[in-house]
Amino acid sequence: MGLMEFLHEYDTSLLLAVGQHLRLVGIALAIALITAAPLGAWIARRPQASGPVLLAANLIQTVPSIALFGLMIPVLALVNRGIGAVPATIALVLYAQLPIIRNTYVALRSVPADALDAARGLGMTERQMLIHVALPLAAPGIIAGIRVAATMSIGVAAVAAYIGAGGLGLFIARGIATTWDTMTLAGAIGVAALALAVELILEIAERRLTPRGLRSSGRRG
Amino acid sequence: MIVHMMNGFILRPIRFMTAPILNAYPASMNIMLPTRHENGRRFHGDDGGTSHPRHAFRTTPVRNALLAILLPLLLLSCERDDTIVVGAKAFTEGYLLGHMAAMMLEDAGYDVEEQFGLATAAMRGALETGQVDLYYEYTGTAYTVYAKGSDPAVMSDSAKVLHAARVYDSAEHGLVWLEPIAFDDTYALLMRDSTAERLGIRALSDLARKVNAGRRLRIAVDAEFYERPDGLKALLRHYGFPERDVVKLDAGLAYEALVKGEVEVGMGYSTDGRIPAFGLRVLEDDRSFFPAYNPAAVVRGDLLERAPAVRTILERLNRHLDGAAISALNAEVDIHHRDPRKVARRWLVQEGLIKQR
Amino acid sequence: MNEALTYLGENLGAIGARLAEHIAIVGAAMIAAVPVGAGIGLMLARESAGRVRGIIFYLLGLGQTIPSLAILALAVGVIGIGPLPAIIALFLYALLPIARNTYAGIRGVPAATVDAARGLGMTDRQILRQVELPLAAPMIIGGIRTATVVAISAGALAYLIGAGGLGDFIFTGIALFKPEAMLAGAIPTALLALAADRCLAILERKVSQVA
Repeated sequence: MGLMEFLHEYDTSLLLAVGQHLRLVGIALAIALITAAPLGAWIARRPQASGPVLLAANLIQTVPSIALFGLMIPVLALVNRGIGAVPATIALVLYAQLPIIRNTYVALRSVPADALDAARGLGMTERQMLIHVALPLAAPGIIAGIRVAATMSIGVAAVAAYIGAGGLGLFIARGIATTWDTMTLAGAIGVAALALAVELILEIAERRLTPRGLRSSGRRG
Repeated sequence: MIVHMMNGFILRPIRFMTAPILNAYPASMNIMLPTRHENGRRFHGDDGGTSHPRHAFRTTPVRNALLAILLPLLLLSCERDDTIVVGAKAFTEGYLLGHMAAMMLEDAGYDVEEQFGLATAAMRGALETGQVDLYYEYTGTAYTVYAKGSDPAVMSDSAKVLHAARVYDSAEHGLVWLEPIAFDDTYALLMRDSTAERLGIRALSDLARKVNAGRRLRIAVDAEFYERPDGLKALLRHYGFPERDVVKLDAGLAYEALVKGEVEVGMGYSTDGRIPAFGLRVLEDDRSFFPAYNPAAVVRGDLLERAPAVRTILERLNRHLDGAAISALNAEVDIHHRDPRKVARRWLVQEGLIKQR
Repeated sequence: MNEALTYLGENLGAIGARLAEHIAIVGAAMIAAVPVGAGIGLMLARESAGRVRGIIFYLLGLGQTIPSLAILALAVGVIGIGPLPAIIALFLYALLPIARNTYAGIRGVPAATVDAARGLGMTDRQILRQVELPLAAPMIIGGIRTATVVAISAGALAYLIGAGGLGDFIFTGIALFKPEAMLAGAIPTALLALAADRCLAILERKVSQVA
């Protein structure tokens, strides 16, 4: 079956799969951001807490994705959401914690002390310092963390097909089951293309959000 | 004791790439483990963060962990009450039947949501808890795996198996078995025709004899078939031969492995179109190990209460689908690589079961 | 809890066997991936300049997004079932982090240091062995660490193509809704990954102290 024929035959299923995949990853990232970025900021202020928090996030990474997805099923079956998108999303949220927490933490801690002192000297409150000084300076680093989390999630979400969450992983799984490389490639290339697109978008965002003073390679007075 | 797996991967490249910029701010080069490098002034550093009257971000790890779990639950839990959720097991025939059910119900005006592609127990669990409203299950599977029955007198009679499954499910789980479709799709052990001829194996007892006589015959099965009460381990006991060369893998790969000669015996489903196409033969179950497996829609009682027409709609399928037809459809998907979604739709339109769109 | 313990007791032998298979597959893949990956990273670090550098870095990172599942699937399509396609797939998958980190590590060696060494009359080969590699070593080992952990995780999928490993228990658990089985597969895998990560972290620290 040629490429054109394949795309024609599977047009509906492909679109559905891409939609499912994006929905899974999109929701998971949004939630991961809400939980992980503040955590990163929190441990930036309390370095002594960073140890356990980062360790916990790291521990999650060592669990193989299929295992984490699988374990969500019995746990969530208790609230009648055992299969499909819900366990997959929760697992993805958990996986995305480490890159975002870590990068937020690092980015905030690398905010130059001089800048903060200057802000303090100007009479800014904690909150103002965070919003007007720390966050803008840390933004590129935080976005880098989101980028890593995003591309990682798009790949991990492929395995979610095995717990009924659909997505492009379904093409890979069916490709294995019917020993049909074209289908496997469709899934794999789809995932890579999605990751590429998301990377590009986030890179533009990162560039936009870098404060002007840092953009050129020159140094400040 | 921080495990910085991501350290080399992300942190250092970032630092490396932003080095020219950061070099302007010497204090900021301390992007290290927080347990070291207490020198220099840092963001909210040495006073331990106690002197701040107001925290800009009043978050705690516990709250965030809870959020991480609950938010997806809430966001993804919104589903309309009148939606019918149709499930399907993760193999070609399962998908075909699932699509057929979904399309016929949609055609009749219902709002349908698909939840396809799950293994048996996960699918069944979802039906029992109500996350899924119906899916096609096999009578034999329900009898042996869920009702845990093993009476040979029942298993060899399709009407009795259905009855047993029906009674069990309505009593224990409020599930209703609609009329089964009149074909049998049983688990089977397959061999290549040529190999089987050469070794003189026609039935499972022949296989047992050969293995007991010392022949090394590799058997490919998947994890589900291996463990199930109607699966390989039990079959080995029933036919009296030991487990010696068993390879476990994804079920779909068993056919390919058989064809390529990587294994001598492989698991399969009797209505799979690949059996005739690949020159494979089904080893006869001469000691009647497998029960009858007729597919039927298993529907939640509460669905039938709010939408009794579902029964009539789905049972219309029975008049049109038989073993030959399903085999042909399976072949279209597995051999000609057509999309089960479209194969199901084309067939339903052809049979006049749904309107052409 | 009781069921979990009985399950564990009954299947201890099988868990051990799957664990051994898992370690064997990952081990074989890593033994090949380390020299090849480092070599690729080194080659790339030498060649490119400017823009090409950025693009290569980018592509290396992107390759990581291809799910390990897909690479396993393609390997079995080419080679057939068994441990060999799994080893090859894991090998390919592990190449990227190692190559990426070697590349970054070598490029991170300050040009001034290399010039100084050249000024002292060292040959290219000597510079590589005595200056660049030691300085890049922490980063390279960091890459090996990442690669090992992801390979162990990806190895859980090797069951699908007939390569055995701890994924056997995980998939059995999913197919039959047996959390005990899932845990029997998931916990050893996670512990294996943690152990590997810890050992390599210690190595990384030692090497960076020397440098």
